[in-house]
Amino acid sequence: MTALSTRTFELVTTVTFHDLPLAIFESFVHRLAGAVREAVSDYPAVEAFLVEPGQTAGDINYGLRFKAVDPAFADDMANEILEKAVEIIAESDGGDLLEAEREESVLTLAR
Amino acid sequence: MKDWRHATVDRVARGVLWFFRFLKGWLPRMLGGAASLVFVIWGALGGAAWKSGLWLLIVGGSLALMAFFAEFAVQRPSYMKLSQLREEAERRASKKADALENAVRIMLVRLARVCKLDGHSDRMSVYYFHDDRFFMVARYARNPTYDVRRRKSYPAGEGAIGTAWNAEQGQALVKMSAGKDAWDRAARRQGMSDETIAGLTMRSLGLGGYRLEVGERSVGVLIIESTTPNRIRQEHLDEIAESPIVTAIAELVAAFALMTPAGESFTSAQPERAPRKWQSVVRGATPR
Repeated sequence: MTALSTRTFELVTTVTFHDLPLAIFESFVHRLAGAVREAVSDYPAVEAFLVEPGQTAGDINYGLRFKAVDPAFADDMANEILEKAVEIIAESDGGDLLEAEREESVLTLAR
Repeated sequence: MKDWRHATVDRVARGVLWFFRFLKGWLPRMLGGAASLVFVIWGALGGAAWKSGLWLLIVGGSLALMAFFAEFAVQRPSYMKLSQLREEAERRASKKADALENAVRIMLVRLARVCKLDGHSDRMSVYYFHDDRFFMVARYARNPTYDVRRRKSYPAGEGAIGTAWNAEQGQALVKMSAGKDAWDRAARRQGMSDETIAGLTMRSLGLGGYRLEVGERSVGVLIIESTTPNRIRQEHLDEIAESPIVTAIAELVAAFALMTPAGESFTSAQPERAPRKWQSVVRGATPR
């Protein structure tokens, strides 16, 4: 457990918003990045984040680089942050929450 | 000065050796070719062939005889013998490869027990890297359906193998979606073709990859996988990283790779790194 707390991991997952029109995809990615930046401020273990368009249209690569967290809980933390980010976007729009679907994820030991 | 002389003598000696090897290898053919040429010239003489051109017939015959003797006397070992030696060498190499494969498989069985990954839904495989592809060394799965080998080699950038190989610290934990369509989409994103996906016997939901290294060299990848969700965890990779069994497997994989025809180049390629635009978190400021 001591070893886990001193290591840095990166979790990258593919997120899809099925209800998101492709026409506003790029601007949404930019807004999601801003919302994730705001959401991670409550998580001191998160050192960096990643929000960028994925390989295929409509996919978003969403990632967290974190330290001092058991990797077993990384998925839960990533889900929480993503949900918060989506809520932040919905609040600023005054609209409905977009449903995010997380697909495969890759956890790597960064250092 | 002394080094310069030695280098020159060495170059000349190697040149002479090369020339004699060349001569030895090509002598029967050269003599045979020369005999044919002389016979053609002798035949073109027409009526004079049996009078003024008789010496050409004698020279041609002599060259043909010399070619015949050179084939047996100079060119040794013979082509037949070389073929036999090659077959024997291939048989020996195959036996050694089988022995190494069995050794690695036995180690995988032990490792599976140590990591408690010897269930009916689990599998362990070891690959060595050569010429931008991964070749399987050994595989162990309690379930016979998962123990089969369908593909001989795997592209370097594909699936969990490529992810672990390219990871900074050589470790990767991949979680796949349980739904078939989502699983297929994820596999495509990881570089697998539709044909490859259709041919898979095991649709793992969790995979762990660990890069095998010997000294400063990366030699291959160890993959653990399971069709049970959340079964493969970071603790397994930590256990693998500490295991002396894995150290021994890496040594054997390095030996295995060197037995391939061009095994000496198996570590030449450097792991690729896909650039990602990570953004640092700045505490105390929340810009929108």
